[in-house]
Amino acid sequence: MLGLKNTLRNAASGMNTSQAGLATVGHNLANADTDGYSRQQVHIGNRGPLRIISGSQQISQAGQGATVQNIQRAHSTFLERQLLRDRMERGFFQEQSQGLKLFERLFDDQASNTIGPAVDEFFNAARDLSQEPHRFGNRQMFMLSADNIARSFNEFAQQAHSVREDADRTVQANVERINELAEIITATNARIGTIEAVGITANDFRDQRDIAIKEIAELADVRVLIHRDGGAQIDLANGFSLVQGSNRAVLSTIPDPANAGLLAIEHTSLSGVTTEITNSIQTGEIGGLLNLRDTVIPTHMGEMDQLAFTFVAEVNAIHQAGVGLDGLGGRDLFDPIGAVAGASLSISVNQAIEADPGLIAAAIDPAALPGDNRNLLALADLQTAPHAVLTNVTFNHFYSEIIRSVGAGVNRSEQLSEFHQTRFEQSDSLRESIEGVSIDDEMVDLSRFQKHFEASARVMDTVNRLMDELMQLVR
Amino acid sequence: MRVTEKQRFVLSQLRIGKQRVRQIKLTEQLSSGIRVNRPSDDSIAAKKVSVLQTEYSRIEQYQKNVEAAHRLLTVADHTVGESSNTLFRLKEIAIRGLNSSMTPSDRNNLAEEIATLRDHMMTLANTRTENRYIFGGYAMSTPPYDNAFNFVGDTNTTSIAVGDSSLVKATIPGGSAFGDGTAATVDVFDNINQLETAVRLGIEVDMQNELERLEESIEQGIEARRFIGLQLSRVEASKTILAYKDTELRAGMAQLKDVDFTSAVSQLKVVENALQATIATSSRLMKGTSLLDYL
Repeated sequence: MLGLKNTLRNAASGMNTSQAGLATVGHNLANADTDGYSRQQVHIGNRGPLRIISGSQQISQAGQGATVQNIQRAHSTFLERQLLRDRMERGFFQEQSQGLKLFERLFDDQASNTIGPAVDEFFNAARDLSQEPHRFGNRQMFMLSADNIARSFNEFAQQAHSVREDADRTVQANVERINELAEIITATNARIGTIEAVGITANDFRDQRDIAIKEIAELADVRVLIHRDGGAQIDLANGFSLVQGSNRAVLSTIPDPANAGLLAIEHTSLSGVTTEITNSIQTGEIGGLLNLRDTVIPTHMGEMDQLAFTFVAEVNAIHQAGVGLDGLGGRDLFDPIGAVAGASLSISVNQAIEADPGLIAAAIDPAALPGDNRNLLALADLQTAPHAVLTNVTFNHFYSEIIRSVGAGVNRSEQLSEFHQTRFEQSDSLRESIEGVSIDDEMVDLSRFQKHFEASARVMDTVNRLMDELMQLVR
Repeated sequence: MRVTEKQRFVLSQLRIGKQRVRQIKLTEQLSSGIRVNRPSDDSIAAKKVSVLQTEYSRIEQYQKNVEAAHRLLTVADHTVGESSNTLFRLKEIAIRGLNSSMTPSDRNNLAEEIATLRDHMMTLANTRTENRYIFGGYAMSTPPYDNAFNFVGDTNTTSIAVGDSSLVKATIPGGSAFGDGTAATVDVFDNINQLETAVRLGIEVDMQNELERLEESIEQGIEARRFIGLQLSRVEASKTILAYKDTELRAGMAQLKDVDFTSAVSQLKVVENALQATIATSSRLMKGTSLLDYL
């Protein structure tokens, strides 16, 4: 027998489901602007039917109303995966291009202490001195210009190193941030595990975890695997496990003596094994910073060292062949440098000559002092001579080529940074289109659930009145 | 595809941001007048500018060198010219000394005049300009002729670079105008001294001899001036070439580095228009009607 009571229950279930719908609309609207929020949808299903037997043995079923089956977040696993990749690439080029721009400033023509003009000035001072090699004042000017070259190289090396150190400090901060994020992920993993064990989807915790994962992806290469039980497994750079369920590995930084004391990154696994993973991190902000710190800047530094080394060797060779005002030769103008590596940091002028510019070997013939300027003429000719170790070009050409390649590097890095930013925006826009909250949609749902609620309320009202009628009969 | 509010706002933000970046870049170029403010603005141009810059600074130095060589050579030219005049005066005196009507006291006066002119020649031979002696070769800080009229310099010339692998001689070989004490040159001072003695003593044969040597001395001076003239004309030629290169390099660098104002301004105009359009459409997007207005 199908009773009014059943109808009342059905009406009540309708009101319940529409309330759940309204609550979700409210939740969505409240989070319309929340980062990483995925819009949630209420799935309403009907409650299993009631088997009833009417008068003549015939069995039929009566509906029992509706129920909220689940509340799910709109989520595209494919897009999210794509976005992680985009984040890593974007992070890499963003950091690399920012660091390179700092490095590029060391080649700014407007700054007076750049090496190109200093070298030009040195050779011009030699030519100036060649007019009047007997003049003490000119000799002093020449020494000043030699000293200026040494200082420019030194300053360049120091500033380039400080760009590397800046990158280093950011790497350290980022590594610490990864540890924090891994902590957050293990915590949310645990909560998602307990919630989902009873068959409920932990939408909001999953969103929170996704935010943390996205942030890690900005920083380094990650691979994410969501297990059936809802737990996320995060692998870092070539399969170093970072998070597994509610356990996590630890990243740490340690000064690397083989790399000028800059930091190496170490990974201590769940089982306590420590491995250095510095070179395995190839994307993300850390990847970009490491690339800048360990590849891009050292490459250019190497070129500058080669320039400084060759310059000192060639200038000294000529200087040794000449004689000073005391008639003696065989002196170096710059202190000899032993190795190419670090040459620009260690270049310095010979203190003895700086103290007594008379020792500058302007002359070739000790019998033709002080007017013999032939050694200075030979020295000045170095400026236009190609040097085999410098790819057969002049000092300045070599330096200009470094400028070009730095400029091109910045340019390329900037363009790629912009490209990946745009790509990220496109993917994010697609994600937003699936997962984001549209106020229009929510307004439609709001009206829909409101009408739904009103209709169920009307049914209840009707049943109520029928009940009243029945009661009237009894009275 | 669904379009959410966030997309509308974020996209507007990004679009406006991109136009602003382009606008700032162009404004920087226009206000500095320089297109290549850092290597990454145009790496190829930056390299070329750096190469040209070196050449330019070298040209500037060569121009200074040319000026210095010009000054030294001009002083030498005037000095040797003046010494030729003096030698001509000496020749006149020698001819007068040969005149048979000369009394010993007349010849003594002539000899005195010769001695005075010799001292004048001495001053000329030890000419010092810009803190250097110009006729003593590399021995530029000591007088090339000592008090006994002996040459104590060397026979070198000072070469100065006035271009890549282009040297001019800014001085004549030491001793080449006044004698370097060897048989290769005429010793002008010995010539004058002998002449003085001959005139004072009235020895006709010696006077004749010294008169002939005076001709050689004069010839030697002319030779020195020819040498100077040759170097001066090379200096002038270098000056012209350097001035030409200077202009070329400046123009070349300007072309690489400087802003083409017409195109930059028109680009800025385009960006500004695009920015305006973006702002207009964005504000419509953001104001865009929503169901909220009707429910």
